Amino acid sequence: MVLRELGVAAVVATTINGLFLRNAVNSGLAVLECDVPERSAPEGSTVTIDFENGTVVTEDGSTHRGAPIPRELWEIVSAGGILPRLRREGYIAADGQQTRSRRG
Amino acid sequence: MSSGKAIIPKILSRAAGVDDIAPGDIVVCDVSRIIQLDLPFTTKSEPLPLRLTYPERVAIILDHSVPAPTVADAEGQAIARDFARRMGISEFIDIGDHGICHQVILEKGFARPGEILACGDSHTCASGAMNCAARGLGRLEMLQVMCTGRTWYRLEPTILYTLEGKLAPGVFGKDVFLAIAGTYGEHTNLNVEFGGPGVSSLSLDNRATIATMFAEVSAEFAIFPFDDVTAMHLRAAGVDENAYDPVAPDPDAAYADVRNLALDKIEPMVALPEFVPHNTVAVSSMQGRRVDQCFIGSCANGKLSDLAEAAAILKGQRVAPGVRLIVTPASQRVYLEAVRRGYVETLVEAGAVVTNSTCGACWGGSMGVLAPGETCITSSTRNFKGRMGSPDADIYLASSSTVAASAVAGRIADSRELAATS
Repeated sequence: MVLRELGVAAVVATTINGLFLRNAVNSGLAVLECDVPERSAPEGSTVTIDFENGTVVTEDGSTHRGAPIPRELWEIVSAGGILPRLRREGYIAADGQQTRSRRG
Repeated sequence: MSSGKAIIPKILSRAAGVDDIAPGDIVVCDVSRIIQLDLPFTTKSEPLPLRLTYPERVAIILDHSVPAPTVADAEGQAIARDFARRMGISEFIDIGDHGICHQVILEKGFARPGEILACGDSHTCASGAMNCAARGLGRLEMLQVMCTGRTWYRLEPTILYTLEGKLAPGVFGKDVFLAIAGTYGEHTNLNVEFGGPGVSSLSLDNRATIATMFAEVSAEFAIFPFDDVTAMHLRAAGVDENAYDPVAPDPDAAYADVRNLALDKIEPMVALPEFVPHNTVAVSSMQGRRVDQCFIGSCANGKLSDLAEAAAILKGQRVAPGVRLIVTPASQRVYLEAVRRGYVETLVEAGAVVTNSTCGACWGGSMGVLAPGETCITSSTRNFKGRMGSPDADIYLASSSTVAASAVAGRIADSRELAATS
């Protein structure tokens, strides 16, 4: 996913649409659906995100609660996405068996 | 305090082992049946699994490009065959026993009431006709669910369509869907449930057509209740009634919207080219548009009842000069039964081409590709630019009955008028 390649570490948004959520999780992009007012997190400020509990602590000291994603999804995200996760659990080969890919 | 639930939240919460569920919640579910197709083995864009946790849940169905039209497809199918053998997947539906996956799923009783089915094809929602929660998943997800037997869903709100009355002669499930799509448009991020006294009047084929087509308006799940029609079909497929546990909505189920639909007021409909939401009209208002190719087939409308309708209209008639009518049965089983009943003879005598079962012309893969400037009326599923061949061809979607009548007339025609004048 492009966002990860651009170096984006995480996405926090008030609402996250189903398809974006699926693609983000599958490609290992950390996401959290949480309403954080812009005044609490102005551009350039630092935030602390607890994905397990679904909280965002902003520089002004306030804690914002969102909807954490379930543990099994977080395992996919923290592994780096579906392929790394399946590799780690021995479902697919570590070096990738398919050397050729075709546009279907 | 939890209010009553619609069918999809009940199925998802049961499969996830949670007591309660609300729209927006994400649940991780056991998937009862996992269907993999020929295409992933051909394109090789994901690695093959080394092991499967639940091989007994997996079925592989060769359908999109069968028999293989290219060396790449042939190679992919050989890989699929070998993979099934090595992994101990007993349900490998090879060419000769095959069909379009959603038809095979129905025929073999793979889609069961109250359960979850996963498949990589976008029309997986077809199995909603069996009170089964089914929707298409992307390739990486299918790899994951094939390996682990589990995947996750986010619960979206449900729209209830309350059906009343019954379909008039010459009107079918396809017309019901086209009428809804024309009026209500997109159903993005919504589940669709059907209810009301009119459901029992719909044949399983009509329910399957409706459920299949809801992918075209971006619905998540599309699902019917369980009744005698569903039960009879499962018995015929050899599924023991103790092997499944249907799910009905709670009497006080919460819906995002409830929409009444009088089945008897629906007319034959057609989707105009390029897209479906808010883009359908009554056939009666489109009559006269010349057509070059007519196609009857696909997971939506390649069923025995579709071939029966076509044969009834084409008996003693001829396909209009300069027009091709291509009929692709949705499965070997449909094909054989159509032969036994004389439908194939009638169709060929009328000048139609009856092909082997596959997805074929529906996705412009083979067996009836369109040239630039041509017009096609089809009972298949999609009409976007380039879907069935040249991006400069126009595609109209309709029921098999409308397509057959149009093949005789050489222009878009209302089958009810053709019946009246013949």
